[in-house]
Amino acid sequence: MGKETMSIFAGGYAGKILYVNLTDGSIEKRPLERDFALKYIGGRGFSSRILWDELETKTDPLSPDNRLIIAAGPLNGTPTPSASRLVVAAKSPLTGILGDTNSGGYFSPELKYSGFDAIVLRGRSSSPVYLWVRDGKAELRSAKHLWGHKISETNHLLKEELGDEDIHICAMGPAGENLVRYACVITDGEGAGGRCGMGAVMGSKNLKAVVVRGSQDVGIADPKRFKEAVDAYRQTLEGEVWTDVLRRLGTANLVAHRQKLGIWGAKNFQRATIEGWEKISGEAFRERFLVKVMGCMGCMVRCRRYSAIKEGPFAPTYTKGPEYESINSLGAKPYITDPAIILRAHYLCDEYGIDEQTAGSSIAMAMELYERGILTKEQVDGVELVFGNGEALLHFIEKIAYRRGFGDLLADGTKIMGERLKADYYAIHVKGLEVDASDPRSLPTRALTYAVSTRGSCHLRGFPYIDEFIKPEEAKAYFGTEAVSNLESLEGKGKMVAWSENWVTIPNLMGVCIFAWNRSRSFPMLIRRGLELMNEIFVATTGLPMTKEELYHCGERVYNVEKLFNVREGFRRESDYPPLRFFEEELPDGPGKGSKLKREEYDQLLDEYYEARGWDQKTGIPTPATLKALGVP
Amino acid sequence: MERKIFFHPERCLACLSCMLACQMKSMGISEVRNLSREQRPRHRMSITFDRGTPWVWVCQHCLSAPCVEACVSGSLRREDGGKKIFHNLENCVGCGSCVLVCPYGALQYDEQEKRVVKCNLCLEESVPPCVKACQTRALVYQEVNSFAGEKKKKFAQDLGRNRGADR
Amino acid sequence: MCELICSFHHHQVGNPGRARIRVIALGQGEDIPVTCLNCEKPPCLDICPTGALYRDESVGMVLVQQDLCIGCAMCVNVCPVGAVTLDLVEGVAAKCDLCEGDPQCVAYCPAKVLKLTDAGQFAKYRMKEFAKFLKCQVGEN
Repeated sequence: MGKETMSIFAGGYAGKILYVNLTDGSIEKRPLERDFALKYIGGRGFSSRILWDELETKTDPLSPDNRLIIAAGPLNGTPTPSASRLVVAAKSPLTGILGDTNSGGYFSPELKYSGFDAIVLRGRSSSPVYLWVRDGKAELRSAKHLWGHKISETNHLLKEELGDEDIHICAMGPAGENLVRYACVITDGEGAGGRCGMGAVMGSKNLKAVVVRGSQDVGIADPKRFKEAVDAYRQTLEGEVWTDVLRRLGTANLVAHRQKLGIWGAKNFQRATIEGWEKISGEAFRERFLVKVMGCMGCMVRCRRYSAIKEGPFAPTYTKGPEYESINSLGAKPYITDPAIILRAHYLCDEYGIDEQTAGSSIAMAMELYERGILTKEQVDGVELVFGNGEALLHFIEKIAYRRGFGDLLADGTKIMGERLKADYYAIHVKGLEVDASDPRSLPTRALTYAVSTRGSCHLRGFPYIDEFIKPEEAKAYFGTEAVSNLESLEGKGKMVAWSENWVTIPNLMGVCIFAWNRSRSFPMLIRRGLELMNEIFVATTGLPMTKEELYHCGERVYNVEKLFNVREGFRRESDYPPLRFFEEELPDGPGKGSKLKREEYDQLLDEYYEARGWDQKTGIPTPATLKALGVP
Repeated sequence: MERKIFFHPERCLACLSCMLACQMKSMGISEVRNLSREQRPRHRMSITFDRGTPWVWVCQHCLSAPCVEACVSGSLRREDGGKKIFHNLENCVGCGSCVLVCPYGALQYDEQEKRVVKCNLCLEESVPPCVKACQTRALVYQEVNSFAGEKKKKFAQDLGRNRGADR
Repeated sequence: MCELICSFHHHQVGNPGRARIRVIALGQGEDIPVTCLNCEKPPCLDICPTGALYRDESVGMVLVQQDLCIGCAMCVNVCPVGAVTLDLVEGVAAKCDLCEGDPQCVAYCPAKVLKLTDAGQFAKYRMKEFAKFLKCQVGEN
């Protein structure tokens, strides 16, 4: 307790990684090596590198050999703004490639206070267990009495059993127990480590929850420098318009934006606008359901919502959220415009521990197949599975959690649904992870970002919005051509996306939330806050030597390791393409009407991207020269 | 964080069950029936009243205990890394220096034994008998900051329900 | 953030367990920060046997003189709101000291929930709010 932990690090790091073997119950504390920290920083850097090192090719993600890694960054636990993020990673049972999630709340700082930078779990327990980590000590305890329970009840029982209201819990729900391929982890009953099926990996290991509690210090090497850096950092966030918007409406503020640009993936990507979208806008949810604006540890943005349904058939329902992605996946995709249904569906996903994005996408895909007659009523358990049927959505979420009836096929995700039903065309995913965020047919750079992401389609792996605000002279200086500032042009965009990916990896390494890091409409601010001040805080906290250029290269290094992992699993250039639908069908409505991706254009973009990355043009494999420059492996 | 015996005066009924339990433990008696009228061991805890409000005083096992500083025989010493002050009866010479310096009257001179007696927190028990005997949970055996945390929670709850105009 | 900046200001570390202000989560979105109320007649000061707890006239707050504290935790016991604790590392009494007049929690609270004020001013503010509330209840009259 107290100040014993700062082994070789002057601050930031706890200096220890907890290794747990669930098969034989052995627990080991290994020191965090200085070199490892300097090269991979923390969070996603640790998890990706450990997955590369410890997993064999073609490991079955649901086998004991898969690793589940829970990782914090060096800044978690310090007063760095919004240093609240947690990474949970494993080989994904949904995609078969590297999977990781990023969630907020209070778990990640507590992991640091309990004395560890990360936890690596392997093997499979012979009976249900949970891991209890307290102040540098860890033990596996029976979870037989927790098995079968939903998330809220699990958390409640754990708090009672351990006699402590202040524990922090990362748990899976019934969906994880039933190995739903996209079962997720939920921290403290609120933040979901949603995508890629981390909950299923926990289920396959018979691990119900990981609980942390600690009272140890997280040190700061140079307090004076730290305070100056943090104050400067906070100042850059004060003026941001985004901060106010996020605080007022949460991520749901994006609903209006999607409608305005006409980039919804509504009706399983058959429509780009939504009739009645105002009913499910950020304003609508705020007015009807918001109880309180909430936030994560140390965050000044406060984008979380706490909502309640107090009237109607779903009352009472109390839940965190909804987020934009809840509205997108459970509203836009199945074309449901009843906000109470969306909120209720979101609540159910949180309680069962299911990724709402894949759930919504899978159900939406099934709806399209049903409307096209590819699925019959008998196949879908006699339900009238048409777009807009909110009851059907709620009905199947529960069925998915328990793999009952048609829920059993839905529980495998769109990629497998496409294979089994010979309907790949309607499975809108990249490498098995469903397309989220928006429909990129009118925005090719977004399409590139989604398609090349190392965990499957993900809008968070890159930051393609740079061309919306970068000035021509800045574009020339950073990317070699003014064309990058031109929204219409595709020149230089591949390079831009590559740079943005390396850059946006950095908060995932530090444990900092992107909403307090990347929000800006000024490119110099992306450098100033994103690299310079972030590095300043890092150096002041850890006492480690690092320049902002080296930090950027850490981001690049981690990204390349992730690419190597996927390459080793057999993935090549062919898998870095958006779904066929985006090339074949034009957007039918909205401001982007008539848009679709053009193959030659996309190929050019991809070529430029690979070139910027130093990856082979034909295969997409990182070249030896690139890897050598990064010091990988 | 170490555990100490804390007191909630608003819950105390002044029933003195705690003191009885302490006496019985020090005499090695488990049945009240076996208490003889003549036996009156010195108290390791005491109770006072201030305008009707009771306060039960027990040894606070101070981090930098004055009694340890004052002890001439070394019979008072820190144990468990400073978390408890242990009084060894055998080594005690009964000089009474500790009695003079303790602010809480936690040490008392026993004329018969010609030694001083003090609460040792009954370490062999999971919960000290005085705490166990308290019918109203006025005496609790709790981690220091957990005790403070509970008080904070109660205060927050009161604040929360009585917001008045802010609602 | 209040907890983090408090532990940082006093101990140069991140550790809410060592903060002198704690946020109590009551559930369903209700969170209340609790710290020293700076009582007019502080029980902690009255009970302290060594005089380690004293009132500093310049800040007007009860402070802890660490080298006089014997770590008896009687102040912890008597504080009506649990604002006094023993520091996890140093073992001596720890409480809000208003950061020498510039409370950091107030400065860093993102929601501007915390405010350094005095009872008179705050009572006036409350009265105003209540008056507005009454007016809404009573309606046009």
